Amino acid sequence: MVDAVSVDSLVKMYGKAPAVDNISFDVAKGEVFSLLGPNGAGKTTTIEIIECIRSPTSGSVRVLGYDTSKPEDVRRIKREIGVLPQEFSMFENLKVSEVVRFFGSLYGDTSRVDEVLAALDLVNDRNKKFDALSGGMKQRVGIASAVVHDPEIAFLDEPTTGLDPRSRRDVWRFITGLKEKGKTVFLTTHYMEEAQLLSDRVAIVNRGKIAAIGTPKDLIERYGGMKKVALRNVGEAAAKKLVEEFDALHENGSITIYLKDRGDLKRIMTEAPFEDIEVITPSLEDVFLKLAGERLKEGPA
Amino acid sequence: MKALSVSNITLKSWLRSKSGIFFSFLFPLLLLLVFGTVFGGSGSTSFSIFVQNQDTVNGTGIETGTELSSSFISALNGTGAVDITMIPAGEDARAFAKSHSGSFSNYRILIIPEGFHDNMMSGTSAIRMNITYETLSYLVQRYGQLIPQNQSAGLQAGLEGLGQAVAGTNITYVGLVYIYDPSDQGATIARGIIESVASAFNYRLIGASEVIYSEDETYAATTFRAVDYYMPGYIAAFIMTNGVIGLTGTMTDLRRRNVIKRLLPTPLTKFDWIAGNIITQIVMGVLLTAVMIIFGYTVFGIVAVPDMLSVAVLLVGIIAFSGLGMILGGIVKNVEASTALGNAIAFPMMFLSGSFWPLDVMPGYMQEVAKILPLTYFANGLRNAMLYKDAAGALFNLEVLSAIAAVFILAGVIAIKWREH
Repeated sequence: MVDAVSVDSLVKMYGKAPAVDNISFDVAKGEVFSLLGPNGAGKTTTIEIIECIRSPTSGSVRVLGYDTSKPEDVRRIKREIGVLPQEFSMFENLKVSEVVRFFGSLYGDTSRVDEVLAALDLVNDRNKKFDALSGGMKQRVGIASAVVHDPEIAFLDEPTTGLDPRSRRDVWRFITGLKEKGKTVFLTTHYMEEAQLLSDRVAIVNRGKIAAIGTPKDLIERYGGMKKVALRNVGEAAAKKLVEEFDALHENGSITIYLKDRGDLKRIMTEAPFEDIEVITPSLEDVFLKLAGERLKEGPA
Repeated sequence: MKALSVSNITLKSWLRSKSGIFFSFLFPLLLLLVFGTVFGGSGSTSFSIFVQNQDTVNGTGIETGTELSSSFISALNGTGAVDITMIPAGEDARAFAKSHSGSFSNYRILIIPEGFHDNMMSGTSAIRMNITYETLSYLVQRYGQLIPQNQSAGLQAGLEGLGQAVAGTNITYVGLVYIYDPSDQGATIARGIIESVASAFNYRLIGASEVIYSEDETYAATTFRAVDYYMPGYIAAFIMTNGVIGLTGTMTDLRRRNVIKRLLPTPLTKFDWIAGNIITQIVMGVLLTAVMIIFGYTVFGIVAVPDMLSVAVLLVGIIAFSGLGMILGGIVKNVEASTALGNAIAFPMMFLSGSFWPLDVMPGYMQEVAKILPLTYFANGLRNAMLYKDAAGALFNLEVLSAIAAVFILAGVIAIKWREH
């Protein structure tokens, strides 16, 4: 079966600096695939090469089996993909429905305008002008414009940035709906819980290279490290003893202890008086922290 | 079809923009109104002038002008080209004129000096005697052999007597004083009018008539007013600004806001994008032309009516300047720079191309510059087609404009990047 996206030895140089440094990966059809990385890691450059709007320095990219270096294949690819850029912008004086209809018309199909407006909760705002919308609503109009022609692959770059929690969950539901319909979703996000919740597989990109790739569960098991417990309002004497005995961090009256085995938790429970305890399971955030050496910040990459 | 989609949204966006409507329609109409009002008349302009007649008689206790000085003023007034305000003979002419003119107005004063009538009469007599003497001398010299000898001696004696009388007569010349500001262009025209009247007076008083005269013959079937002449130029100029300033700014702004980048991964091609924007410019240009012609006809009774050739020139002109807008929009990266560059190109071209005034009034080197400006051919082509109905002239300009349009569109296609680097 042909992969949705196949990237092989991709390199993109800006001057002498590599923005993308010899990366390879495949995305299967029907998969939700996320690219995570700090600012300047090369995520957007990689996506834009796959979207056929930027040329690579070397390497090859195939989308649905079509070669992005061949003009006749590029025409086919562009018909099959939908794109939400990082900051979606449009002609300011157009109404919401006109923006979405325009994108539909570029593919010769405006039959799904009402459907996508409803799916993204934009029906009541369809006659509002684009420049009068909030950032979150503009983002939803961008998603609607990306999928109005029912593409095989949706490239969504930071789709929930600027959205309130409810709208964010609506978008998550929408992305899950795309997956259920067998569509491939190529996602970039700064929200770790979003990537962990939605993605079948995640690639962590750092300094133009792929640091790790796999399912969220695999990555957490491989790189997430041990479970932790956080104890709050521990007495001074007990805190001192715990720090000496365990791999622990004492901060503002709370202690975070990295567990080595099940016996650790039992000893802590019996030896230290505390008011509150929380067991923390490693997440993608920990994986990212370990691989990229920094926390992922919100904001455009 | 995709080009039509592009045209549909760009047109909607433009027509919903207050600044777009102002600069595309209201501003051109406003300028047409101003220029049409200033240049819309049919030669009835008059120049204000103060006249002080110092050649007066005081017959019945009321001071009046002498016969000839009064006649001179009447003749001047009769031209209809000057608007006379009289200054009383005893007043300080400059102070009077200054106090009766607006703060920002120049004033012109004609002073008819004391003795104008008498000097004119005596001067006229002397000139007439001189002419008579010289005429008789010429006749005697040329035809003297035909005169019988018994009459010849008497004639010679009479001629000598007349010669002595002429020699003893001094011709007194009459001087009019004209006070004006050298920077006042209207003053030169008013002076010409005064000199024409004085010349007619001179001829009439000595009983001479003009041997050389000029007779007007026009080659145009219809007589046009200035506002008729300028209308095609205005249309061409504002279509040019829509392309060079409007389209350039729009292109740069869309690229800055990543709108064009969003279109790159869609099936829309660069050619669809360019064609869509040209269609929008054509619709805007045709609308602008229709609005200006209807407004011009309604308010000023303008006679310029477009025919098929005018439409062809109009379309090619719009395409040419859309191409120029594409080039600038493709090259310039930020909106402020594109606005500055658009203005730097559009405004000199507007004023140097003869759109707003005839090329003949400009210095020679500027006329040479006009020959390389695309707007010159657009304005001339429209004028030839709409106004003069000069098909050959319009076709020549259309050919040049078509070549320019082809070059601009080709360069525009190259300048617009449809892939990031």
